[in-house]
Amino acid sequence: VAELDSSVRFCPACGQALAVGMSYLQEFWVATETIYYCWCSSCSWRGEIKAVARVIGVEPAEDDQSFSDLHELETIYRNS
Amino acid sequence: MLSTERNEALTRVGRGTPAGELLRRYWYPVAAVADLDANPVVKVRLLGEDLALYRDGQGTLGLVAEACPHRRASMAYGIPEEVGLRCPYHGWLFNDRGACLEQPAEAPGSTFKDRITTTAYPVQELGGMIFAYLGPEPAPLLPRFDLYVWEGMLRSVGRTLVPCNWLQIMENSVDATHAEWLHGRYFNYVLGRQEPGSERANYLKGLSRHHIKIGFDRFEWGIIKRRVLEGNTEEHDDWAIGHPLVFPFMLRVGNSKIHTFQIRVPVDDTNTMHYWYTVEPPEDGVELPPQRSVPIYEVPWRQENGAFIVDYIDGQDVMCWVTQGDIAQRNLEHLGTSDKGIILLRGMLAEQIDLVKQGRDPMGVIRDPAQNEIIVLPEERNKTHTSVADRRTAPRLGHTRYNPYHEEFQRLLHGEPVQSSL
Repeated sequence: VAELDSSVRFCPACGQALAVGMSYLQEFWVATETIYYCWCSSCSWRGEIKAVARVIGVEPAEDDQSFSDLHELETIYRNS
Repeated sequence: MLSTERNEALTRVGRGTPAGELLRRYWYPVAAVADLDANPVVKVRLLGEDLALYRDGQGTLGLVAEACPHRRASMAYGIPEEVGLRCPYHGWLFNDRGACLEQPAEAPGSTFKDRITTTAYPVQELGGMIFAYLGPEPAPLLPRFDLYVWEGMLRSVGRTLVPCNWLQIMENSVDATHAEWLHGRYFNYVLGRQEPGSERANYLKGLSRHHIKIGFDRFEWGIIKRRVLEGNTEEHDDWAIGHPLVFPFMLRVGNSKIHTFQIRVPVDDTNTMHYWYTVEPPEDGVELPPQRSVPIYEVPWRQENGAFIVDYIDGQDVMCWVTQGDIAQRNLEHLGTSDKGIILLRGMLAEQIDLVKQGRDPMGVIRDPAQNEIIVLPEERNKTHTSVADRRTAPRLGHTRYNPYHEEFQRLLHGEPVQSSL
């Protein structure tokens, strides 16, 4: 693991160094994204960690309930 | 990419290495019973250890270190006695537990032999094969997988030595999309050049189908591989049932008319003995005579000029495994999302190595006889990649084309009279 050119050094669940024991870190690519499959030998957490270069969201439609809830929360926040 | 350090840990098979210690928790086929019928002593190399397998005059199987502890001559040239195996050089005699029974050149009454033992491992016979266990005692049970114990079917075994590490062969078993390319597009390309207009090409249509979706599920014995091919749905057997990689060294594949274990036995770091253990049920209403012997045959993969034989499915696989290098350099590869089965397998391997380091049994090791009466594995009944039509007339696209008993088998399976030597 230490030889891998990766910023992932520690388990995101327990913080154990991934160079310890048989922890497994495997890089793979999806389009422009780099993803690391990780299994931690210390806590057995298994999952994928994605390097994020740019955060892209989707603008919700105005009739979307989540948009209304967000607007309501924003109003409550401003009024407070 | 995988670090060089992890690649070493996952691939090396010697005693004391991470994967080597894991792999020593399993039983491996090391020969066919037919091999010992032909010669009662055979040389075996397994997990980097050189050994001599024999059957003595009482019918007892033994597996001992090839080098005699006296002067290191080969026990694979030894003489099977009524009890044990005798070194051809000076006659030292060893039993199946490694005890030295005789040292004929020493003085009568000498107790020197009592101070000498040789390495000896347990061996068992099942389904026409001989299995060995090189791990710590007590040995687990030899798994009674369905294909080894089903009755009323015909068995045959193909074999070849592949000069590469075992893991890249196993990774092929969870590399779903290679079928579409290597056994579809590439096979068509090869046949188009070799035999234009070949009827065999018609049988490749299933293999060429595009993968819409692939899936991998962990289960008790390893990983079930699933696929949805273009034109199919999740209702088809390819997805609804799938077929398993049996951790850590087997693949089960087939359909309702033919069942196969592809068994990848790690000989050493850079060689793997590949067995195709095939079981064929008879046509409906046909009762087979008892099979006295399971034949074993060699599956070639090189032409006389050294080039790979690529006009059959298994030869194509061997070409890819060997050209990846003796141990694939995983630090140089570039995996994509279609390689998730491979990633899952490597992660599982790391987990199971860790279990062994903790002193626990890894996946697939069984010790309860009640769980070992018969282990039935999932397998597609109707597999899109392989036709279940008339198996007698369908062209043999895989290793069975080298089975010298194929025609005899077909007559037996169809209930036709035949003078069988088996």
